[in-house]
Amino acid sequence: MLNYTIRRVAMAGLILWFVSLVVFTLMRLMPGDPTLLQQGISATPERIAAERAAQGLDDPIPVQYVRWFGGILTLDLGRSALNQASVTSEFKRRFPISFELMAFTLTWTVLFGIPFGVISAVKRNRAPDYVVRLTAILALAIPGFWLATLLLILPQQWWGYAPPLDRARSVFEEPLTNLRQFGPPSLILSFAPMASVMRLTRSALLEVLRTDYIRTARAKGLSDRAVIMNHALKNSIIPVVTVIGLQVAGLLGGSVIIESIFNLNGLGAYIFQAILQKDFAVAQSLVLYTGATVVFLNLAVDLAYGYLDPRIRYA
Amino acid sequence: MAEKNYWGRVAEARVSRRSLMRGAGIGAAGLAGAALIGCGSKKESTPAATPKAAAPVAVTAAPSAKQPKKGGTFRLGFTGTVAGIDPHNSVFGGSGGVPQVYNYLFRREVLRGDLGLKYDLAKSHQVEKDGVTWTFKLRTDAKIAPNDKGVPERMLDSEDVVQSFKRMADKPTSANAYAFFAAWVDKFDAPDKETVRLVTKKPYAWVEENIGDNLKGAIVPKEWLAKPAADLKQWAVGAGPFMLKSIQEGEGIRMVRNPSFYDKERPYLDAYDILNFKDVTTQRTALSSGQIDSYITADPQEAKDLEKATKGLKLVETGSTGYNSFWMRTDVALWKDARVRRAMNMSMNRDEYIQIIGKGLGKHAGPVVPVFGDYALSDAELKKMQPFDAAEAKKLFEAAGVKEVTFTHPTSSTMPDYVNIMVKQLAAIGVTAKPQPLDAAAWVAQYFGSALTASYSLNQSYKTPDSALLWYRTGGVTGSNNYDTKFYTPEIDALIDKAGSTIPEAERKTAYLEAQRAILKSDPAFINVFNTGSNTLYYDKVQNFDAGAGAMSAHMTRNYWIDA
Amino acid sequence: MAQTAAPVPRTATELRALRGPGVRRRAVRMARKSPMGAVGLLFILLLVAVGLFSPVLAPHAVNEFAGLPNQGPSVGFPFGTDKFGQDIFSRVIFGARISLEVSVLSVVGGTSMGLLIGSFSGYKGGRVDTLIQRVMDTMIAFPALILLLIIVRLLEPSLRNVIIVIGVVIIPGNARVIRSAALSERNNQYVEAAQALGASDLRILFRHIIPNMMPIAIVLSTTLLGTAILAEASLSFLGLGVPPPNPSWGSDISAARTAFPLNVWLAFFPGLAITLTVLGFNLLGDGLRDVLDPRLRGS
Repeated sequence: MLNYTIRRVAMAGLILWFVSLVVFTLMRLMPGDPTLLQQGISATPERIAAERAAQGLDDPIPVQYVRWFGGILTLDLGRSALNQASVTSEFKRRFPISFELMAFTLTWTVLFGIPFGVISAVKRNRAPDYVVRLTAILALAIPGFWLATLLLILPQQWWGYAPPLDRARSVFEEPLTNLRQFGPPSLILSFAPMASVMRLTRSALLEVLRTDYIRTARAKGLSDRAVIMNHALKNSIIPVVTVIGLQVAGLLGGSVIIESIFNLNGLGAYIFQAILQKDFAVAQSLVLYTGATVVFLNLAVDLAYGYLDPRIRYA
Repeated sequence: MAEKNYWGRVAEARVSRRSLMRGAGIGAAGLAGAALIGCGSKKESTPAATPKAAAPVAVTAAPSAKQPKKGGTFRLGFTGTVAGIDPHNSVFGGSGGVPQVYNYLFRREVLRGDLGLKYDLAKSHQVEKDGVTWTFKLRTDAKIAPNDKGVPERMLDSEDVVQSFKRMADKPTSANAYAFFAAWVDKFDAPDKETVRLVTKKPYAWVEENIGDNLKGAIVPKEWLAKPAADLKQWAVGAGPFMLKSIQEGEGIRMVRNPSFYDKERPYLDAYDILNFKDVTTQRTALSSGQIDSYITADPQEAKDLEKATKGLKLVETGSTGYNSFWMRTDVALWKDARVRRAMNMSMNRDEYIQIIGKGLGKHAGPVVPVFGDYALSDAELKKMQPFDAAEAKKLFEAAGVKEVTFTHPTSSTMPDYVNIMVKQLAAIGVTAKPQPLDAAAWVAQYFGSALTASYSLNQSYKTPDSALLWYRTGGVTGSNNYDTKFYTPEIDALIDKAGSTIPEAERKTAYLEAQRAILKSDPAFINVFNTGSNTLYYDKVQNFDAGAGAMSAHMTRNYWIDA
Repeated sequence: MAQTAAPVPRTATELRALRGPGVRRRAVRMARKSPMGAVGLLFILLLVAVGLFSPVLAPHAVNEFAGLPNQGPSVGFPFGTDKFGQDIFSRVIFGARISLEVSVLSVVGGTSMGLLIGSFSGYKGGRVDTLIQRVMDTMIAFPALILLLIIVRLLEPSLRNVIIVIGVVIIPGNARVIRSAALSERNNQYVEAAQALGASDLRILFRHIIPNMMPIAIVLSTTLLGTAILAEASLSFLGLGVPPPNPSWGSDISAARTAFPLNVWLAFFPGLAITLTVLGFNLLGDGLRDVLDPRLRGS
């Protein structure tokens, strides 16, 4: 097991290094120049050259890579080419916002996804099952940006209601305002993972319900409720937890569009701006961060499986 | 979303409070001067120069009869990025924050001739008979605001002005005011602590407008100038009416009243926020729900709808210097052919643009847009000099053997509208237009390097007729052959220079018209499509609100107060 | 949106169950066994018809300024008109064509590449396999929308590039699933027999491995079509998708946002079109899986 773990961790490190190379290269290949965007139309070529020199953007590419990646290793994420802001402090400011959005989203996902999955499995091929399944498949189909736009505008138009849009309020200082700000976007974000979790819970539960030991339990005269709660659900929850774990990975990078629409300044909105404006350090560091969350959560899931099921280690 | 185009952003930078998505320019009109005097601007010195009304000006608010109340926050919104606030070289520099925190010798705008000239750091100024020596007398009570950046809280003096001028004239450091200093300024110095002298190479008509501009004229404490350039991008310390409280990408700029401000009465506001949105829908929802106090749009219908739907919201329609243009590079065979350039111009049905995009609000535009009044060619003359003539355009395209034109445009939410119209109008005369969208960042880089062959652009607004004509002058808009059409003639150069150095106003106006006639006759490679309008919405609880953005408006915020 | 469509089978056992004869017979049974899948299929067929015959079906040309601007739904303009007076109904119909074109081409391209890469990687095994897998892992480490944005920024928006970009982004996921199936296929006796008879790797790959992977690829594609449509709409919404004057549901929603507060229908109908189309593909994908593997039913 230890060997396996070491091998997997080394592999994850290697993949992240690949990611850093890829994102660095792609950012360099992109057309455009962030200094030009920031300096505006009156800037002379001399001014642009001076700005590029000051930011080290005309150093040889490998030098720039080493400087950036070296910084990453010492937890210095670099500076924005547009306003010189430290990416590290921007990250610290924005991470809690994206984290809270993710936490809310996961809460809805689990709160609604699992129970409805269970209902769907228990009432298999009856009306509740169809309703739940159809709702889930619909939730997967609605474009989030569309729903978010409507959810922001229509309440304003109908009732004059809008959440505070200037900046995210702290959950500790203004919990109610915070809920007004994070509730709707997290609900929209949770639609897709909720549907996945629900569908998976249903199928995993159905699978377990078909197994011999459940039949035995039933034959012993245990109530359906006891069978499902004590035996079936426990055994079917593992793949569900896995899927939830993988959803976390996707969400920790923040949501590009939803954050922008609700003006929650998390990591997603920041990455989007940075990619558009070719803001090197911001885009590189944050994409690497999202890569790291994906890779390490995958790793955690794999290791957990490896621990639970020794056969996987040798596969 | 964040698909706002570069020019929009530049335009925004120059104009404090407009939505980027619009591509429109500065509002020309604002408060009538009387309104301001009525509400207590007595402490401001009387301008030395005679006010020169350049354009029709709308009265935006009735003079407030009430006694101003101190306190309250005024909140604006903008979409885009907080892209650094260096007062001398960043596009964000001119918007909102910078002009409130730093000082200017004075504020002056052609388009706000109604307001004359508003002194700030200078208390008087004069130009010698030679027409080139300018002397500015400074006030002695402009104390630098409290700060934790190590800038001493002393009075600003002539040395700060000289150091700021030096930075504006320094080629590798300066961007915004560089062209003015390089082309026109001979030297400047400080004979004593209260006096600054500036000598131009020859008489120039727009010295006051350049010095009095948000983006160009910021006077910065010398100790703050001595800090690393990165510091000036991230923070601001000055003796202006407000001081910086926070600036953060995504959240915007927050300012509070400068307790040391030389006018002890003003500003009336406690705080001034410029909130950062990523999406114009969000910004508008913030307006409708009363979370911001003002919003500018180029779409009159949208503005009217919002006014109708929102209690307390007032609409002011103003002129604008925003315009669209079609840019061609004449070392490319296709655009070298004057017939093709003329055909492009003739194929444009400008009335259709105005109807569809401006909902009727908008004007035909020559090289100088019509809000500049007598500096611009009249509508009748424009229609004669650049007529819409589909049949003739078709003939010219056929004669030149052109069946297809390709052009680039930046991606933005409004661009599809313009492009749709152009494609349709060209199709009507048998020419297939192939628009190629380019991401704004990529587009501007290629445009800057003159690497595009043709482009439909939403252009920045500008402050003087002079800057408008730089597109047609050798060296182009930066003077360094960027955004270069490669189409210049010595005759037109001479006419533009002559107009700029003609001081008597009536003659100057004639000179500008002459230059523009020559430009239009030459089948220029930079065609103005039309001049957009501007619509400002604001809540009527904001007293003394000034709808004409720009330098003058930035000066007026000290008179704002909230009647709540 | 980084929305995921219906989950795809992941383990080799699940995959093996998807293959086998009788697909056609089971497809016929689908209507009975999976009414929801049949509804999805019907809807998609309808959509394809709309896409194919959009010039005939749409009352107005796609960029025609047909009526008064900003009108609500009426008899002449069932979905209303936009700020140009363009007929939204016609634009939604033409938008179907673009959406289908983008989704089908990108998914077919992306799945084919995934099929080739996955089959090759799984069949060859060893170092080649390891190398390919590390490359795929690297791509998967990028969240999908972020990878989309980066590649679109590299290529610049155009209809062709949007197709390429979405195709590229779905390669690694496909390749991974196919690879694990190919890995187990490789150990089958008939492959060993073919090898013993001196068949070349290429021949085995194209005659045996890839054809056996096809049913998995088909199921994968169906579930991805909905995802591709959402991806295109998201990119267009951000102004980085299908450029004007092409009609795209996503960019129409984006454009319509400035028509708020009063003209809600402008954004409503294109959004509804996206939802129904993705719904159709997801229902079809589910139904198809039901038919191909009843054991996975409803997962």
